[in-house]
Amino acid sequence: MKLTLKKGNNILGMTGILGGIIIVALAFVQELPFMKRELPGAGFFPILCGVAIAGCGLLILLENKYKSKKAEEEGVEDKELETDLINKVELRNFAYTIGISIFVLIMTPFIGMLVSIGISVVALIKILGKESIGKSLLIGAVTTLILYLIFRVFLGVPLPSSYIGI
Amino acid sequence: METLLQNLSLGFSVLANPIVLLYAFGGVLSGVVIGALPGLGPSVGIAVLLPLTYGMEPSAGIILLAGIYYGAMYGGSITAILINTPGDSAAVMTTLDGYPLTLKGQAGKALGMAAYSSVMGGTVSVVAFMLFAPIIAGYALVFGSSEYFALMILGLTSIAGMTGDSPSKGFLAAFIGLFISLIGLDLVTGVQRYVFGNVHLFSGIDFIPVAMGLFGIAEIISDKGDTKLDVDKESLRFRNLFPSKQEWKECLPHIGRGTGLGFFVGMLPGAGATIASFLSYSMAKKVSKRGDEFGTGVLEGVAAPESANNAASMGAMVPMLTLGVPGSGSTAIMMGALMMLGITPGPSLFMKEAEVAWSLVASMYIGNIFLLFLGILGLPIFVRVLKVKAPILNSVVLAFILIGSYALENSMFTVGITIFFGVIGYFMKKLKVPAAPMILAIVLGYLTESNLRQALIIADGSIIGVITKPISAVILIIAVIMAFGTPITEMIKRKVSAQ
Repeated sequence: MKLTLKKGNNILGMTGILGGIIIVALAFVQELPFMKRELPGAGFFPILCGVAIAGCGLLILLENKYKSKKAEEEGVEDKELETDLINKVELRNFAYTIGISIFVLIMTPFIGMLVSIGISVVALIKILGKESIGKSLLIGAVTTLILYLIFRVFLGVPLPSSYIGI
Repeated sequence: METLLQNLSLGFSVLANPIVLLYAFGGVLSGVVIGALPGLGPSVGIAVLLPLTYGMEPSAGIILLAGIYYGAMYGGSITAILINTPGDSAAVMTTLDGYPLTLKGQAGKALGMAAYSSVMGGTVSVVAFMLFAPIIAGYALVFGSSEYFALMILGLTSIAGMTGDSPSKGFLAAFIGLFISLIGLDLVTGVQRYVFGNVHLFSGIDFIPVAMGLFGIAEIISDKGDTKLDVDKESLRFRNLFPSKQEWKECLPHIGRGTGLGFFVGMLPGAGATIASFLSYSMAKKVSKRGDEFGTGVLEGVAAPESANNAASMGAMVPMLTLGVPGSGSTAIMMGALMMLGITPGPSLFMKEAEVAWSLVASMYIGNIFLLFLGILGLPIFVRVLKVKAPILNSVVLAFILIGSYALENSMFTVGITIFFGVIGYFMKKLKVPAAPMILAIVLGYLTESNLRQALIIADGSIIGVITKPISAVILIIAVIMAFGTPITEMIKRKVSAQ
């Protein structure tokens, strides 16, 4: 299925409207007053933001509709709006980058931050770069060492470590 | 004049510390390397390297970040000239004549001219910065909360209105950013807002993990394609980096005009280096005797935009430091970093934190000298950087981002926030929603809200009383005009392409 910018803009516009409504509704649920003793209350800015976000969402929908209608009337295809947003390389990059980042997030408490980051560097280079395992391991080790020196030694950040102390 | 020199010597005294000098050099070097990598501009560079400033002296931190900023401005021209891929949007105009010069076997000369004009533009602009900034700061000292509120609105509307293709998308990003800045405890009433009982959210969401996700992770995911570097090595030899006397004679007036124009355009919130380089190139084409040859590989076509974009990067620091209103994504991140280091940019900066402000000015002089040396002597290394494969580079940058976001609060929750905004940033990029307004809004959100609330208390709750104060009214009218920045920019771009 082709996901065009036109469809994407519609999704964005609708998400904006829905998001804005949720923000305003939550302000009421959390009892954030819009005004308090004739002065702005804790809900003043959030409610304004919610309304503005919904307004921008609506504008995006209208702008999108206007552009498509104009292109239709002129009998030409609006190339920008018809561009496919899905790109195989990016989808692969997206899946691996976010997947490996989540791996670091989950595994750090068990195997330590430096070890999980080292593994993630090796995995990304091996999978996305298709480099040899030796080269991937070498780059992973050097990167981890540099990060250790910068953050642990130079900046004194207490990085989460595993049971073996790394 | 005497005071000015005294202040400058105060700034240079900070730089007498070799460690601070090393930070300045490190900043410029990393800026050039980052700028030279396709797709990575100053915003990404500053966002990713921000963790290095944790715990630093404020002067050292801001000197490092400023070095990355103007280093990246020059670095962007390397890829623009060698592979026809601008490192950032400010280097787009450099491709027009820079790449044809490479095809003619004159890459060295083009890169040399880019370095000289960047350094000249940068250095002259520092003088202008030194003269203008304290004056503007002096005038802004009379500003009260309603004027500040108006200034924040100006900063937000101009960046939202002028970044990206559609103002509605720019404003959507700005309002989402404003909303994010409101999450946490309301500092006036102590009420929890959108916290849902999560203790990590009590102190709000910091802009750093958001910037790292939106700029860093989103950039890693993007498909930048393969870098095809095919340059005649002979043209990059040291002796070929120097233009002839005749070429200097032709380029110098364009460098002068580009510098002046770049500095003033850079000072306008939202306008920045990209528009400055567009205008400078267009002006050079108009006034040059060889205007017809522009686009076919003339050195003047490299000198004009390069001097303008570096001058604009200096100009952009004026509103950020004197008024506390950054005009671009990069300066917004720098302002946030200053606040993180305990310094509040604004009119009193030059009085209360004179050492920080003047050491930054002094560092820009030294930094431009570093830039010149690096631009000439380091060129072979930067060309090699272009050959690093994207997956290797991306893996290292991702590792740096993850560990850097952890180091901010020593919490894995911040790492989660970074990953979350990485996903959001990628979708924003695909849907052409600019990230800079969101970052700026997060940085300015708290100040905007507190200034409005304060102004309303002073005006007895009357919003009319706040917006009709003379200075606030003028600023707000300009803000409304700036909201229509994109159509104006499009008009300028159309005119330039028509010529």
